[in-house]
Amino acid sequence: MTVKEELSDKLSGRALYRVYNLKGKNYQGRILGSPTARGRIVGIKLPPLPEGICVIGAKDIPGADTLDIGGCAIPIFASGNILWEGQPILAAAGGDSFAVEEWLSKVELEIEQSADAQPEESEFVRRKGSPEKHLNTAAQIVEESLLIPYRREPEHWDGATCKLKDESYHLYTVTVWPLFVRACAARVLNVSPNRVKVSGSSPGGRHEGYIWHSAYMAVIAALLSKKADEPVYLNAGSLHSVGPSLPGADIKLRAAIREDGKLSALEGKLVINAGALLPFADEIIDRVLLGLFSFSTCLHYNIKVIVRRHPWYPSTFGPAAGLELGFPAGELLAARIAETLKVPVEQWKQDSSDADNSLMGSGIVRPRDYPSPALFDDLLTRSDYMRKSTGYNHVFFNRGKFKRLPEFYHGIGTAKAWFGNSFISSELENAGLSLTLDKQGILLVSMQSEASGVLIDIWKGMATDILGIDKVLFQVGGGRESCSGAPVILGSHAAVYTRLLDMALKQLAKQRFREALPITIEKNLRHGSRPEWSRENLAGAPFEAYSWGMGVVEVRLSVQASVVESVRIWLQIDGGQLLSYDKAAAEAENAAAAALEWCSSKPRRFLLPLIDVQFSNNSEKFRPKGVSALPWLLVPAAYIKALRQASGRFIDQLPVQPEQMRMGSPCL
Amino acid sequence: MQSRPPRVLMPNSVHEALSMAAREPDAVYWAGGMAFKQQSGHGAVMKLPGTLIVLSRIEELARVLRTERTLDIGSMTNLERIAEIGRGFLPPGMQEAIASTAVRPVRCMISIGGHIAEKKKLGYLLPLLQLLDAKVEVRFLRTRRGRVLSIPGNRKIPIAGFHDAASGLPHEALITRVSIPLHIWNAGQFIKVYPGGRDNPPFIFCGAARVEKKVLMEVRLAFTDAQTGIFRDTELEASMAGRGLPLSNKDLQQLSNAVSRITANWIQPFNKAAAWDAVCGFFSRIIL
Amino acid sequence: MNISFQLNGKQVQADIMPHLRCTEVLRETFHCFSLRCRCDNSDCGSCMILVDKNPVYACLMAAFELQNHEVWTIEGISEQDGFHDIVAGFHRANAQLCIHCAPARALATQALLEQSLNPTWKQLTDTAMSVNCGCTSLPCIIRAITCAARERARRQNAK
Repeated sequence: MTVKEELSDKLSGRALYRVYNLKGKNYQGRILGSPTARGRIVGIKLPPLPEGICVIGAKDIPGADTLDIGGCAIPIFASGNILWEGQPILAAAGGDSFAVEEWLSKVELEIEQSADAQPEESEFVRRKGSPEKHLNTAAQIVEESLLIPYRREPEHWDGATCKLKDESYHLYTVTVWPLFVRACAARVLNVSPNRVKVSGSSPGGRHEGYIWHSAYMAVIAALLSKKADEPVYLNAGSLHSVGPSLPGADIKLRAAIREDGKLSALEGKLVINAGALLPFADEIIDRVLLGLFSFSTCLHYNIKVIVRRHPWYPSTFGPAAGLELGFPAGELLAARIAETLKVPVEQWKQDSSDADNSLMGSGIVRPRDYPSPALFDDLLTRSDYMRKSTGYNHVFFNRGKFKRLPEFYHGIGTAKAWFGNSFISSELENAGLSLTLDKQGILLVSMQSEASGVLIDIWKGMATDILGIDKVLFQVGGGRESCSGAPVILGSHAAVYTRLLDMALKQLAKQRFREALPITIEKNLRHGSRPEWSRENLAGAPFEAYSWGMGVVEVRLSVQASVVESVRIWLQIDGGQLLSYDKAAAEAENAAAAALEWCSSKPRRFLLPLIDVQFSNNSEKFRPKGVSALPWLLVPAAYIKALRQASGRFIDQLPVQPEQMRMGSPCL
Repeated sequence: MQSRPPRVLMPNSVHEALSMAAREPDAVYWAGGMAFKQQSGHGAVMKLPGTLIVLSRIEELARVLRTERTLDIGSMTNLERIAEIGRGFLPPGMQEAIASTAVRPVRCMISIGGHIAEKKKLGYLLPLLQLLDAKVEVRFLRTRRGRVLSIPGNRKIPIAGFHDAASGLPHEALITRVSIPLHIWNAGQFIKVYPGGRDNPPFIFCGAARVEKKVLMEVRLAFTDAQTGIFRDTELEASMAGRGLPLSNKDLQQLSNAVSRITANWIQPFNKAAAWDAVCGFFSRIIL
Repeated sequence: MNISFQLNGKQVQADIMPHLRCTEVLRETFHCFSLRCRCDNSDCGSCMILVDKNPVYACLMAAFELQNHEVWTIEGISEQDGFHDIVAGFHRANAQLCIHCAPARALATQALLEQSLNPTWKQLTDTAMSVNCGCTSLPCIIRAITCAARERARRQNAK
């Protein structure tokens, strides 16, 4: 069964997420979450259970009672201590959702509230060279701070459905990691993975950071289904206490500037505010630091990192896997230094970098496909950046001298960023794909993840180009049983599989007339032969492939209301060979709008930016590059620079609050 | 609010509705129901009051009548319909005010009567309606010596003091009509901004003016922080009449003092600054 | 409570609890699965229906409010000729919609096109803003609605 994703099917409502309550009566599952953030469950008093309703708690789990991921064990139900507000304690299912909700509302929880509400902290230091010496002898010290609050995802979660047939579980959930969900469900249900089948739907525009939450929902749905012996649809959408959160950061930086204007040392304190648990904490912190260091070469640094775990819903990684926290802070610091030295920021960055023009400040190996500055000339011409910037700067420096206030102040900012796709910890295993050409000439692709209709069309085109076979002979089968993992890349998994398929097709083209049919080719994408990434020294090659981009954001600030009235965004992205230009353009445009929503604290429905996205291709090979994460780095960084120019105020918080702009407004 | 199914009463006339409300002291009128819907919780059923008197069958309440001087709107008319019917002749600023209330699907559910009657949350249209001297017609059953009679009575109450006046009316009193005077103002503005971010209530400014040959014949200004009420300074408005445009520095100083006075008790400081910005914007706009 | 109303051009009736949400009635009793129930408080707009040709959020309507009204869901609208204009418009604008919001987007567009084939900027933004979903940017949706309006106007002129 494939998901119908044709546009007319979507618009007519015929295409349905399979997690939905389809025709036929499913049991409706609901979760009862903890009303308090910290405490201990002393007792649970259940009202009489009506016929047709079943309930499960921590005691009803036959296998492991936690989801183990990214170094964290996330409890499925709270049994003793409560870790966060809204932590599931019980789940119930029944034929009538109203009756289930009503029954759950009558459950009496006796919770001994914990007096200690302090967040748990862990602390470590990343250090290199002798930063103190450079700070003491610096010609200038520049300080910068940026606060990005922890936030709940505004999207509503879709839940999960479980159908139980012949002691086999079929789980439907929204995930790009179906085999991870399968492995979790098998561990919790204490059954063989072969008895669990997972159909994952694409998150549809939302970023793919819901790595564990879909597994969480699916596992509870499966437990309910087992207990009720009925298919269960678990709806968590209306329960606002259930849903992953994104970590925030409080970053304070001190930079030592030499007499020649170059950065000599950096000292900083980085507080990551996360939920009760933070899976993949190491990977996320790596990326925050990499983002922080991306603006200039710096060989002496001392960064104190504190991870603060609050009693909130466990966190997941953000749209750029942590880079979106560190990168704007680095860019802000660069802008502050450049303003102090009275030079354009891009020029300062260029001058401050090493001779080899490495942007990877802490000694990271420079990737081979680093783009030439000429690549972005087109963007600057398109946005008319130089002329506008000069004009707006003139207003910026002379705003006190105007006799009459203009109706608007304008600002324009640029940002240059990179995003790296990389493989994460080995617990999820590597991405794999197998390709079989059988005697009937049918070409069958099997892999761990499910592909969308657009992607399959692209693959059919590739198969036709390389092997010359008819498109109808190309088939995609789900679930490659030999791999129990999932896409293990933080970024676009579609690009990873396309690269694997490209490699497999080329090998098949060589073998098809030499060997007897059927021929099966297996391809696994593993960590390449690059220098190993050293977490302690922030050195080596952390990523497999890099996408690059530059963005220009122009804002118009109303003097009357001190609100940003219009935003124009230009993006130039080098995402390698694009699988589908239309899809990539739509994704990048959407990511730019979402990033703007995030950094401007205005709901997306009130934002109407004009977005112009262009792509460049700097490499011939298919490389696992992502294009939709870059706008999350480019737009906020360029936006705060543009706002600085328009409002005359340094922005030290993302999302930017209207009050911050008002305080900088020349009206006052 | 309860999860039990409510009793739904559907009267066919205003008189029937009044009688029902007089008989059922706990019953509430249901026009668009937005005030209850917003608190209806989550899940398959809505938490609603125990007895509802649904006004949708009363045709009289959905009628809109335009005369030369006024626009009479039945209290069941939804905001989207008012915007549609009034295209071209609604007083300046009214279209913007309606559009800023909510998105179209919600505007289709908000009745003007319900919007005015809502006590817990200040309706965004109220400051403007107050400026425009709109009046609300309320009907109720007359009483004699403490006994409710079946003879209907009615009163026309200015929007400005509606909630105070309404508290003195019998509980079955029903808003039936809203009258908005037309063709008085030739310049107007409605601004709704969120100077304290979307988590805080908005700041609303409304201005209406009659300008003839660059002379300000009449002007009215209303401010609200959507928390502490609607603020006007009638003395200031009277003193501004007859001033030439653009305003002199002395006039601007007087305005500035008045705005500071009005906003002195406001809780959020950012709203105070927003108020002055809005006034400046309004006067620079009416020059154009 | 017994209610009767017109659903997608057909007179229907049902015996339901008056305070059930419309989403529940239309999905469970009348199998209109194009209605998505995500937020229950008009945040997302995915449960849009047309009541007397006006777009409204079904999650904000109680079942008794359906009485004697004409209700259209996308199941009915997609059977009509004009639906192809909407599909063509969204296709032309390269809108990569998700399954959640797409039916509501189509209904909002249909409601606008019935109002005007030459929509103003205000009407366009209002229509685009009536559904809140992260899958597609607002400028793209506005392009799509404009294209759909052009398609509809061209088809009607050709007649």
